This record gives sequence, C-alpha cells and structure tokens, in this order.
Amino acid sequence: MRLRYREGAAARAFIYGGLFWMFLGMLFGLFAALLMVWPDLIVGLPVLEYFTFGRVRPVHTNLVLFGWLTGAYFATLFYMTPRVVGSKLWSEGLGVFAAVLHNLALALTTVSLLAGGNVGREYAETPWYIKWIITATFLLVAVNLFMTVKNRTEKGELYVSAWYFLGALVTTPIIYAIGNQFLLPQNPVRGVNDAILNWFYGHNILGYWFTPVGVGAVYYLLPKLTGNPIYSHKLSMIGFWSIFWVYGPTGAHHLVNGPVPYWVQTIAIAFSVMLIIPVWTVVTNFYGTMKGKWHLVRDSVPLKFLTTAIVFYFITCFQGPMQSLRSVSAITHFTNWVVGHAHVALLGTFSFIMYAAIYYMLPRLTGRAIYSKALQEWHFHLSLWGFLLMFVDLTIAGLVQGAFWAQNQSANFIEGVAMMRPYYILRAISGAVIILGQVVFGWNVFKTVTAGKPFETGQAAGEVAPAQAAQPAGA
Amino acid sequence: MLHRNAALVALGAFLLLSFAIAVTVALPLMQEELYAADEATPQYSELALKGKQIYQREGCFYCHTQQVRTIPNDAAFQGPNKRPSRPSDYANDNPVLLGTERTGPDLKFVGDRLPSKDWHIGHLKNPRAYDPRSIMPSYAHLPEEELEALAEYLISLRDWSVKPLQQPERLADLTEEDLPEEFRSLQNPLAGDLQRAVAIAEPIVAQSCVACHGQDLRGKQLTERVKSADWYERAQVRSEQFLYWAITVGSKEGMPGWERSLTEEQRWALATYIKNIQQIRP
Repeated sequence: MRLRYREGAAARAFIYGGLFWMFLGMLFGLFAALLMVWPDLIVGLPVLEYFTFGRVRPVHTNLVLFGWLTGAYFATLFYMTPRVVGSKLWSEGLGVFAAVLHNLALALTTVSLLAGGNVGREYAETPWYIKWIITATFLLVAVNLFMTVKNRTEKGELYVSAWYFLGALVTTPIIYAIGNQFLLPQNPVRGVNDAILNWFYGHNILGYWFTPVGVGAVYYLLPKLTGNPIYSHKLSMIGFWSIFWVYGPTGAHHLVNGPVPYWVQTIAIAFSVMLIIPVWTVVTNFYGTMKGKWHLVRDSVPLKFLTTAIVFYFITCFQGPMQSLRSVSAITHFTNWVVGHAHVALLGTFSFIMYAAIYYMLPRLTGRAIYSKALQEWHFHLSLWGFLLMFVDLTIAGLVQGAFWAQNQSANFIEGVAMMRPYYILRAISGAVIILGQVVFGWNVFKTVTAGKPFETGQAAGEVAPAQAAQPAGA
Repeated sequence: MLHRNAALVALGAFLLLSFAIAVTVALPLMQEELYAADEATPQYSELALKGKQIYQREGCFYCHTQQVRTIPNDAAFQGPNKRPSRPSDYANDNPVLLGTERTGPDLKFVGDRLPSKDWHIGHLKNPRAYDPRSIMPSYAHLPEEELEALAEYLISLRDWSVKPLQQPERLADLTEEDLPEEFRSLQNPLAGDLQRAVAIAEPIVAQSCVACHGQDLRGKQLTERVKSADWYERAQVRSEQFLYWAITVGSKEGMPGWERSLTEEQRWALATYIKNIQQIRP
C-alpha cells in the first residue's frame, strides 16, 4: 500500500508533536522549580521519590529544546522552504516519517532520563542509540529540504531565509556528532577536552540551529505580516555570513576562568564579543523592515510576538558577549543569572518567534482561521509577563549569588543557598504563569483545527499579500 | 551570484564552521598535555567508578561544579595545596563532570574537606539533618550499596599528591590515653586570653559548627547511628590538647578534620572556646 499525504502533512505533524512536548517539557520545568522550593516534596512517595531534581532537569531541557523548539523548527522548515524557493516539498511522506522518528526519539529520551540513563554531558545526556535516531531524523529532514531546493522552478537569487535554513541544515549534524561523543557508546576523548567538545556543541547548537532557523523564520514572517520588503539586502548578507563565521569558536566561553588552556578561553571570548556584529546587523534589519508599519502591531498578535522576540534577541545577545568577559564571568558564572540568560534566548526569543510562526502557518496549513483573537492576546500577555518575571527574578538572584561568593570567597556557602529561597519561589510562580499562557495557546490551536472558520489567504489583520522585491516568494 | 546557488551557500556555511572546528576542536584535541596525569590526579577504585556512574545518573552535576576557578571568588573550594584545578586533575575523567551551575558547593576537592564516608552517606540520606537550610534532594531511597559507592567516589575527589588525614573511627569511644604523643605536649598559644579566643572562635562556630552540633551546641542526632558531640559534656572530660586534636583531624564517623581549612590559631581558639563553654554560654 502506498500512502499519500496531503500538502502540509509533515509541517502539521511537527506542530502538533512540538506542542505536546512543549507542555510536557514546561511541566517538568515547573516540577524542577518546585523541588528547589520544597526539596522534600517527593520524599517517601513510591516511584516518584526517584524523580529528584537531577533527573527532572535534563528532561525539561531536552523536551523544550529538542521536542518543542526543534519540532516547531522542522515544521517551519517544511512550511517555509518550499514557499521561498517556489516548489513543492520533495516528499511529504518522508517528512511525516521524520515526525514519527522525532516523537519516538523524544519519548525514549523522557523514559531513559527518568530511568537514570544520563551519560553525564549537558544537552547531550541521552544514551547513544537515541542519538542515532535523532541524527537520522535530522538527515531525513535535510535530504528532503535539499531536494526541495534542488527542484525549484525560480532560478533567481535565493531568499535570505533559505540561506539560513541551508546553512543550519548542513552544519548542525556535524556539531551534533562532535558534541555527542561522535555518536559512540563511549566518548574516545577524556579529560578537559571532553568538556571542550561538550561546550563546542552546547553553544553551537544555538549558533547553528536555534539562531539561524529562528532568524530565517523572522525574515520570512516580517515582510508577510507588514507588507514591507526587507529593509536592506546588504545587512542581510553581512548578518548571514558573519554569524556563520563568528559563532563557531565561542563554545569555551562556558569554561572561562576554568581548567582549560588560557588561549582556548581567549579565542572564545574574542569571538563572543564579535557576535555583536551579526546580531546588531540583523536587529537593525528587522526593525528597519518594520518602518512605517508599527501601527499593525496593535492588532496582530504574531507581530507582537515577533517584535518582542527581537528585543529579547538583542538583550540575550548583548548579555552573551559581556558574560564571556573574564571579569563579568567571575561574578555571573555558575549563578542563576545564566539560567535567566538561557531563558531569554530559548523562551523569550526563539519560542516567541515560533508562536508567531505557528499563528501564521496554522491557518494556511489547515484552511481554518485562528479560532479566537482574544485567546491569542491572553497567550501573548501571559507568556510575556510570566517570562519577564522569571527573567528579572533569575537575573537579580544571580547577581546576589555572585556578589555573595565574591565577598566571602565562597566561604559560608550555605548562607548563599538560603538567600535564594524567595527567588526560587518567584521563579516557580513565573513558570506557572507561562504554562497557563501555553494552555490558552494549546486550547486555541485545538479549537482552530477542529472548529475554526474557513481561512483564505490575506484575510487576517496585517497580512496583506505582498509581491515586492526582497520578499519571500509564493503564498 | 553566490546566493543563486544553494550548494554554494551550504558549502560556505560549512567552510566557516570548519574554521571553528580546526581552531577550537582539533587544536585542543592535539595538545598532549591536556591528557597527562600527575601525582595529584585522582585514581578511582572500581567502587568509586560505580559511584561516579550514580553521580552522573542522578544528575548531581547540574547543581555541583567540579572546577575551582583561577579567581579569588573560589578560594574556599581550593584543595590542600591552595590552588585552582588544572587539566591534569581530570586526566582520568570520562565523562568529565565540570558542571555549569553552583546551586550547591563545588566538589572538586570535597574529599579533602570531608574525608569521612559515613558523613557523606548520612548527608546523602538526609541533607537537612546536617543543615536545615540545604535544598539538596534526599537520596534515602537509594540502596545502601549505591550510597556506599557514591560516598567512595566523593571522598576520592581530592588532591592525591597530599596524604589523606589519619582519622580515628569514633571520637566518643576514645580517652585521653588515645591522644597521639605529639599532641600531648602542645601548649595552647591563647592560654590566659579567653577574650581573644572567643573573638576568633565565635564567627567560626556560627558558620561551621552549629549546623551539626546544634544552635545550643549540645549535639544532634544526625543519623540513626551518628550523634554529634555535646560540647558541654566534652568540656568536662577532655583536655584542651585533646579537643585541639579532634578539631584538627576529625573522625571517620563524620567530624570533618579542619587541619587544612582553619589555621592553628583558629583551631586553638575553638578548643579554648569548647573547654570554657560553660563560662562563655552558661
């Protein structure tokens, strides 16, 4: 029997799967946050007592990074790539198969980490056989999209989003393999080099996967939502080539002042500071594109998410280079500041971009308009204020911790732990607010798919149909 | 022109990443001194390696770093040689568990600070008995042999170029007869200056002693087997020299040895404080 999939099946599958992992991943995050407030919460409960903070935390990070964001990214790639190059997706069936593999890998990840399968490397915790499934999924997606680009009918210059997508697809598997003990059961590399490889991967998965696909999606969405062409082609080029150049050597900034050679740290710091170039270029280009269209933000929740995401992108990418400096790292490293920083990048920036992308793609994938504008607004405000509370809370907590350690040269450490309690309580509250926002989101998506009014392109507010230069082609 | 050709864009991205791989992956991998062990490098027993597995499995490294940075902020975590950690300290580690967050204290030299396995097992089971402010999870649900392995791993996290302290089993079982020869003839440099001894001792008592000995310093039941000493009771039966020795070396039962973290004067101040506790805190 030969299965035939309707257009958009792969993108839809990844959106629904991604949303499921987002809920589960965020719930694990909240659970971990509660354990920091009440460490004896699960003591003595059968089975549950095994799910201590150290087992729960990697489930949270893996599910939100690889289940939710990566799932939403695959959906974005499957939706946007054919449209920017003016062709159909090469194989919907292969895309759906990739979605099945992806969800299988995430289910195995959840079970194995809870059962104690952690191999001891951050963001590379899963056992080696799961890494093979993840790699296979990625390669299937990459082949599918490269064939899509190859089959394109428009032979003009590729749109800027496509550069980012292609760059991400070709570099990410290499980075993944290097950082995941070369996909072997046991890492052939021991000693501090193991950490150097771990952080080469841990940081570059952001630089070559989460950043480029997110930025590529904004390059697609902004002109669609505002009707403006991209502000500057030259800035697009500078932003693209400079980020693929300067991001790569920054990984060891996670080991600043640590037991790795001084030159390894210095190279990482130098390139981290240079990151300001691609980031400010891209941010300028994005806000230039908004010119004259700011009034549209009032009525368009996707634009609200995008414009705030760009602010958070600016913040996180200003923090990043500064934190890498030896003097700043001395205070902020190892503290809650860094946890806050991670959440600005992955929640405030890239998840917000994906919320906008899903609101844009879903009606075009299902033929149904978004069910409720009011629920969209609730989603935005709960996400925004919940996230801001978390960010401010963790940032202040980090400074308090860092200053306390500096003052005491780490003596009387336990007092610093005790000082964190109010911040941990606030963080758990902020997490609950964020999750509430996502419940609203999930309900809205569910109702859109099951009961949304018929959708025709161009009807939604702010979504004028553009056909100007420096625009993504296609509908 | 470049942007017309998808293959060229992909190739360009790949080449730019290759630069990063060459400089920040290949070059460090080729540095032989980054793999070299020396006399300070931990040598893990089979039991300790099993413990490391458990440490990894339970995700201890999310809250505990194992790296003492080259800055004064980390001074309290330095080992007996008063130095930051260096690449050779990790030559036998795979995976290397440097960690990225310090929700709890650094453990690179925890075996020097807390060399008692019993202390670790008791603390793993019920961290809040040792300090009510601790937010570490309880590991009482783990089988006894796993806790044993974990404790073995933790005490092997030390500077192996320095001999571990020779500790007695249980201080409570000992008498003045057991006090080593070289301690018997020591003179208390703070003798006759109680005020100064109290001034030195008081902040240390508040910071390091009350967690286990209780706010009233009358001792605390830490685990089923282990009860910390009641200072009022010990003051009656111990000489200052014995107290000084007990503070210096600690015990296998769990009293930390303070030889490396407190100066001689500070230890004498504590011994004087305990000996005169009835007078200081009636």
